[in-house]
Amino acid sequence: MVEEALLQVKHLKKYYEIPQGLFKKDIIVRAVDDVSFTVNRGETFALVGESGCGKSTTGKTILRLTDPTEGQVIFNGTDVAGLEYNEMRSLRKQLQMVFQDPYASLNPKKTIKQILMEPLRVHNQFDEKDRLQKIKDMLEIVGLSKDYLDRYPHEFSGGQRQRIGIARAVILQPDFIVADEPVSALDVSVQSQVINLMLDLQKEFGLTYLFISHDLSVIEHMTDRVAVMYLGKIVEVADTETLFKDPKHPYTQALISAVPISHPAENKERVILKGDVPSPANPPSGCAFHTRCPFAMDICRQVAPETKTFSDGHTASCHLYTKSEEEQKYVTSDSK
Amino acid sequence: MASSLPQGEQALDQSVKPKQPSKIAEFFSNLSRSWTGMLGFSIIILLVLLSIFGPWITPYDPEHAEFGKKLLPPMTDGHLLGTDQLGRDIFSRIIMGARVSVIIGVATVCIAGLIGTIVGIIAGYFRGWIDIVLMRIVDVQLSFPFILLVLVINAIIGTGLRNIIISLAIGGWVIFARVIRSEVLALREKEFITSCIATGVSRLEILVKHIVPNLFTPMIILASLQIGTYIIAEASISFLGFGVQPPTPAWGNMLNEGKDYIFSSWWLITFPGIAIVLTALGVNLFGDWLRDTLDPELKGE
Amino acid sequence: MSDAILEVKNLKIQFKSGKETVQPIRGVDFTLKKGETLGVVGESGSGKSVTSLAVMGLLPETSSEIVDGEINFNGKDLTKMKEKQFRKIRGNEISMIFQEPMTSLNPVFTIGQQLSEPLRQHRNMSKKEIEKEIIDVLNQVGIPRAEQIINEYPHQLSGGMRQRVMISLALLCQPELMIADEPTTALDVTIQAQILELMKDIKDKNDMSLLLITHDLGVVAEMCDRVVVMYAGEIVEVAEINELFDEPRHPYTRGLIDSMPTQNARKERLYSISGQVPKPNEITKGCVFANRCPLAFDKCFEEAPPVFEKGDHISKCWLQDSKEGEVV
Repeated sequence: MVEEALLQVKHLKKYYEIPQGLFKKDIIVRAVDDVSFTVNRGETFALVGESGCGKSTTGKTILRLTDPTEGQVIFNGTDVAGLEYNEMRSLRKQLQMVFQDPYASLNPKKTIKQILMEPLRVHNQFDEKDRLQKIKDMLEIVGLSKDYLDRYPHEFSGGQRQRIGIARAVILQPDFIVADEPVSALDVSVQSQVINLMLDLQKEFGLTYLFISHDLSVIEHMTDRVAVMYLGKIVEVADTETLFKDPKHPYTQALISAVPISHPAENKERVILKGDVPSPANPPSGCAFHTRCPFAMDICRQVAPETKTFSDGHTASCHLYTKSEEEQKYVTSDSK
Repeated sequence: MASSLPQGEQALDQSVKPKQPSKIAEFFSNLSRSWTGMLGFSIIILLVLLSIFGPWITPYDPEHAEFGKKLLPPMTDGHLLGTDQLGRDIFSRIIMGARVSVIIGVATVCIAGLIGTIVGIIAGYFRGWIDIVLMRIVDVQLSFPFILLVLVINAIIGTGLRNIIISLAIGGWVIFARVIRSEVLALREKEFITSCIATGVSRLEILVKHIVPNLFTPMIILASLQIGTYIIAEASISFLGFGVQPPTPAWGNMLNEGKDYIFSSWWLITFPGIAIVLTALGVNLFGDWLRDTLDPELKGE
Repeated sequence: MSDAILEVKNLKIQFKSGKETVQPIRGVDFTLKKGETLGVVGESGSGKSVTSLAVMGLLPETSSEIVDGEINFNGKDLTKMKEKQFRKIRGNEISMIFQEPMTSLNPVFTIGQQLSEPLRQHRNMSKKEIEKEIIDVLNQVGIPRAEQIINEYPHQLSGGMRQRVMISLALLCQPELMIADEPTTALDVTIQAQILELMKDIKDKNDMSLLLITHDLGVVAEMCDRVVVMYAGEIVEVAEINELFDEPRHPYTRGLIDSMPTQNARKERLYSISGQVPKPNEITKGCVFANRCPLAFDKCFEEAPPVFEKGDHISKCWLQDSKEGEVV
C-alpha cells in the first residue's frame, strides 16, 4: 500500500496566556508545544497521553476550533491554519469531529432530524427532498431506527447519543475525523459497540481517524500508529504493534506498564512513576519528563532531547538514545 | 414490546423512551404536584381575568365620587369593601387597579426583557470591547437603587401610565442584560456549540438557531420573577405621588390617598395593600415553581 | 461464618421520586471475609454504588428506604442502627473513599483541618497528638512534605495527591473495613497504578478488609480476591477471582470479559453485549439479563433464576440448572 499523507502537522504550537492582574506577568501555558506528525490516508492515528498533556488541544487546533499560536496543519495540500473564515467553513465538510461527552455535544433543543439535517443544509449537500432519505440511511448505518427522527437527545441513552454524534460527523462523508475520547464516557459493554461501529464505518467509507484517548487498551486494539504526548510534546511515535512490543521512551514504557492486567494470573512487571504530571504552565527544564523518569541523567535536566529515529517511522525523544553508541548500550543494559 | 425493554440500544432500536405527553398536559400535571405553584398560578389567572373583564364585574363606576357616601365601612350600603374619602367604591377600584398592575407588569417586562436580552446576547456572544462597554453601563446603572432610579426618570419624563412603563423599563433592562449575558457566555462554551462550529455552521446561524432557543427558559423564568418586582415598584411610586395619577385607580395611589385615614378608616389602605401582597406573592410563587420545573440543573433532583 | 466482617443479606432498597417508587436494589447477598479484598463489578445502573452507600448508612433519608434485608457488620445489624450509633462506626470502623477526590474534600478548609475531624470525633486526643498522627498517616500514603501539606487547601494539590489525602482520611482511625467506590476512575493511568499499589500496601499493613467497587475488570484482576458481579440491582455471579476469569458461569460476566479489547484480536470487531442496563422501572419478570443474553431461552423470560451454588461459586442463571452438559 502506498502511504499517502492526508494530514501533516508541522511545529504546531498552542499557548494560552493567563492574565495575572495588572502588575504581574501573564502566565503562559504551553498546551501544545512544537508538535509535528503525519497522518496517512485510511489509517487510524492515535494521540495518547494523560490529562493535561495537550492531546485534546492538538485535536481542536487541527480543526481550528481554537486558533494555533504557530505552526502549520496541512490537509490535502492546504494549510488549514492559514485559511480565511469562510474557506475554513467550507473545508469543514471534509474534516469532522466526534466529541467525548454525548450528553453535552448535542443541542438539547433540537430533534435528531434537525441535528443530522444541519450539516447537509450548511454545506448544501443533495437536493432538499433527498436529504431526509440520506438521514434515514445514515441512522440505519449507525444502528438507530428512523422512527426516532423527531425525538430529542434527552430521550436517548449515552451510547445511542454517541451513535447520533458519529452519524452527524459521518453524514457529510468527510475524509478525516478527529475522535476525541469517543468512548471514555460510555459503559464498558456500550464501549465495545461504539468501537465496532467506528471500525465498520472506517471500512465502509474509507475514513481516516485521529483517535485521541487515554485508554491504552482501546488504542492497542483499534489504531495503526500512535503518538505519545507528555506535557505538550510528542515523546514517541511508532506503529501501534511496535510501540506496545518495544516502547523506547521511559514514559511510554511506564504508561504501558501501568495498564491494569487483563487476567488475574497475569504477572506484569511494573514501572511505577513517582509523582504527578507537572503543570504545563511551569514545565521542568530540559526533558520535561526528567522529574518522574527512573533513568534521568544530568543532561536530562539541562538539555531538551533531540528526536531519534529508530526503524521505519519509529521515533522517540530521549537522551538515552541520543548519546553515542557505546554509551547507549551501557545505559540500556544497565537499566534492564 | 417496548415496555419490557430497557432504555438502551439493544436490538439497536426498540428502546427509546415512549413519546412524551404533550407540553400542555405535562405543564398541568407538573403544576398539580406543587400546591405553591398551583396557588401562584391561580392568583395570576384571577388577576388576568379581572383585568380583562374588570369593567363588566365592577358593581360601581370606580371613578364616580359620591360625597354623601364617603368613608363607608365594608359591607355597608352595598359596598363590599366600603368607600373612600370621596365616596368611591373600593371594591370596584381594586378590580380596575388590577388592570393597571397587569398592564404595567406585562408591558414593562416585554420592553425591559427585549432590550436587556438583545444587549445581553450582543455582549455575551461577541465579547471584546462591546462587551466591556455594555457591561460597564450595566454596572453603573446597577449601582443605583432601582426604585430611586425609576423615580428620578419618572420625575423627568413626567407621570402617566405610558411614562411609568418607560421609566420602569429603563430601570429594569439591566437585570435581563446581566442574566442573559452570563447564559450566553455559558452556552458559548458548551460542547454542542463547538460541534456546530466543527460542522461548519456560520456564526450568525449558531447564534440564531442554537443559542437563542436555549435562552427561552432562563428568559421566561426571569420575566415571571421580574413582573412581581415591577408591580410592586409601580405601587411604590404611585404611592409616592408619581406614576399613575388620580383619578385613575391604581393600588399604589389608593394607598397614597388612604394613608391620611389610616387610624379612622382602616379599609382605605388595607384592601389595596392586600391586593398588592397577594399579587406579588402569586407571581413569585409561580416564578419559583417555574424555575424549579424548567431548570434542568434542579430537574433531576 | 465467624470470619465474616460484613454480611449483606437479601438487601432491598427503594427510591421514591415524586409519586413513583423504583427499587434499584432487589435482593443482594454477599459476604466479605476478614482481610479479604472483595470486588463489586457492574456498569452504571447496576446498583453497586447504592449498595455501598447503604453499608455506610449514607442513603438519602427522605427519598430512599431499606425495605428488607440486613447488613451485618461484626455481628451488628447496621440497618437497625440509630444515626447516633452509626456515627461512631462511620469513619471509625468503616471508612470510605469516593471517586471524585476534588468534590469530596471541602474547599474552604485546609488538609490538616479536614484530617483532624475524624480524630476529634472518635478519639480523645490533644491537638499535638492529632497533628502528629496526621503527619504519620500522610507519610504512610506517600505524601511528601506532609508538614506543609496540612496547611494547604485542596485546590493546591493535584488529583493524585487529593486521592492520597482521601485515603489517609479513610485510614486515620484504623478502620477494619474500607469501602472504595471507583477510587481510581477519575485518575490517569500512571496515577491509577500508584494509587492501586498504595491501597494494596496499606491494606496488608493495617490488616483491613477492602470492598472495592468498580466498573473496570482490569482493576478487579489487579486487586481482588473474590468478585461480586452486579447487574440491574441483582447479584448475578460471585466467584474467586481466577475462577471468574477462567470460567465465568453467567453470560453477562462472560460478555464483560470478552468485550475487553485485550481479549479480542487487534483491529477485529470486539465482542459486544447488545443493548444496555435496564433502568429499575423497566425490570420485568424473568431473568434481568434475558433481553440482552445471547443464550436466553424461553424459561429465562418467564421465571427469574434462583441462586445456583457450586462450592463457593455462585451464579444466577438457568444454564446452571442441573443439565450442565448443555452449558457452552
